[in-house]
Amino acid sequence: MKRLFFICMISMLALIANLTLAEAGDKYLLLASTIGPVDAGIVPLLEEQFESKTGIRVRHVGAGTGEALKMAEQGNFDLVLVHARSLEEKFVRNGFGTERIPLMYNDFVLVGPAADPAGIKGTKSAAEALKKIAAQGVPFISRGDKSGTHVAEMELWAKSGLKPAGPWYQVYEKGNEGNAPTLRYADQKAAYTFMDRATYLSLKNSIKLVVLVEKDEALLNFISLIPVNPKKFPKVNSEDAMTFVKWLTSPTEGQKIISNFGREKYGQPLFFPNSTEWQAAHKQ
Amino acid sequence: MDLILEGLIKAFHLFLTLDPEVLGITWLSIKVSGLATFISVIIGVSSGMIVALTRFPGKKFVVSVVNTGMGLPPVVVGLFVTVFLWRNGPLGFLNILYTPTAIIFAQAIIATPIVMGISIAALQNLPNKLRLQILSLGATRVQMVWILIREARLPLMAAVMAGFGGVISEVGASIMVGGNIKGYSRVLTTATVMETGRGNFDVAFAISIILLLLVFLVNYIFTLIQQRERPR
Repeated sequence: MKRLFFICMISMLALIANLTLAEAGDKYLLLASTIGPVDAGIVPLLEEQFESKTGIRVRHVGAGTGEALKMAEQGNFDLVLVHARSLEEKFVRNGFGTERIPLMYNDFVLVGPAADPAGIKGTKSAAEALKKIAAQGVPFISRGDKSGTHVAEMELWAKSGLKPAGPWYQVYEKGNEGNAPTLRYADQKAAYTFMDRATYLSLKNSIKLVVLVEKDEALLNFISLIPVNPKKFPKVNSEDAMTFVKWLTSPTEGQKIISNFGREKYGQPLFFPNSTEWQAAHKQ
Repeated sequence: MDLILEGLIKAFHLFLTLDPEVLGITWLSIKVSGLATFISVIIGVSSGMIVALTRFPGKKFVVSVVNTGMGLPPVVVGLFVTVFLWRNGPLGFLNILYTPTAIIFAQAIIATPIVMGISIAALQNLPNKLRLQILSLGATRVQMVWILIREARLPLMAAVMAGFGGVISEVGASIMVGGNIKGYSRVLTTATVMETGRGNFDVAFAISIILLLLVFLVNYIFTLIQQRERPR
């Protein structure tokens, strides 16, 4: 008993030493990030690559855009990664952040049966496509749970000037289970739906629906970086945060990783690089 | 049902191929929850012993507070610890938010009342005259404490198991103070929540099965120690 106890003690002490050694003196920065890119795996991949290059560990927490900005307003983070333009601008205007830095975007697509009964294929404007769907009264599935995807869908309906209603417009009652179940349901019903590209690509091989409308400006979801203002919060690790920002926006480093992310698994990228530096490098 | 079967197959697959990520997550879970339990046992048993063996005004109040603490919701602990560890919080200078150390910190807070509460009950359950008898036979105070611990070893081991079970299965605090960072502060429970959210139910089941096996294994070892024949 005594010996066993002794062994336990020693191994525990070794563990403590191991853990503290791993953290003491390491450089790190704190990032509050919107959940989508974290779950998609792009944020962890970027952090991993950045750490192996610079030795700076990025500690992130996933939160909704509003929540992430709120936590950063207390000066508890060095950098935020978010997607809600109006909130971002307010954050900068109130002096909490230094500037909005474009990082990348992903996009939504309109999917539907390959036969395309509403004839929306190739329509440039997503709002126009929705008008056609409503006019023809072909089945359309909505996630209907006030999630980011649903909110984006409602904004698009608002843009088209229509209030979707009628037997053709179905709110999937289990929509809160996520985008993947909603897409599968739409597939079973051979209906149209509004979906993020990543989910579509991950299910592409097991469903019959195809992408009919894409690349409209209104379908894009811009994700930006905002460094927390060191003038407002002196404790902020501005130096390392800016190193990270510079690495992320560099066309040969972070942006390149973003442009290749998902290519291998899905045959096309899930996110599109969008930094000013990337734009400049690819205009020439 | 298919999902559970797929999960089982996936779990075996991940384990047999020694998937480095899953092994890392499992190892971190053991480390973090093991250390948190260890800390809670040191604090819980010693303070439990003081409360159980001494008489002081307000003792019943203290015991009820501890017993309430046995049901502390992990998310509540997580919230408090997060706010304390924030850069501008009272413990911000520690710089440990969103690290495994922060998870240990939060889990130790969750497990301590559990271990302490059961320890108090265990030690109070010993016959009152035992202490007098031990002392009258000429034992020092330290010897007496050691004998009492050995006498109450069955329920005390139960306290350790309850503490460990409470923290290894907890997810609310781990996700809040650890951040579920891949390859750094992701543990089995937070990985399960994440994979479920992403719709990867087979992986989520696989991780859950690994978690269950781990808890079983640890409890089996504890039970072996607990139920061992006492040397005569």
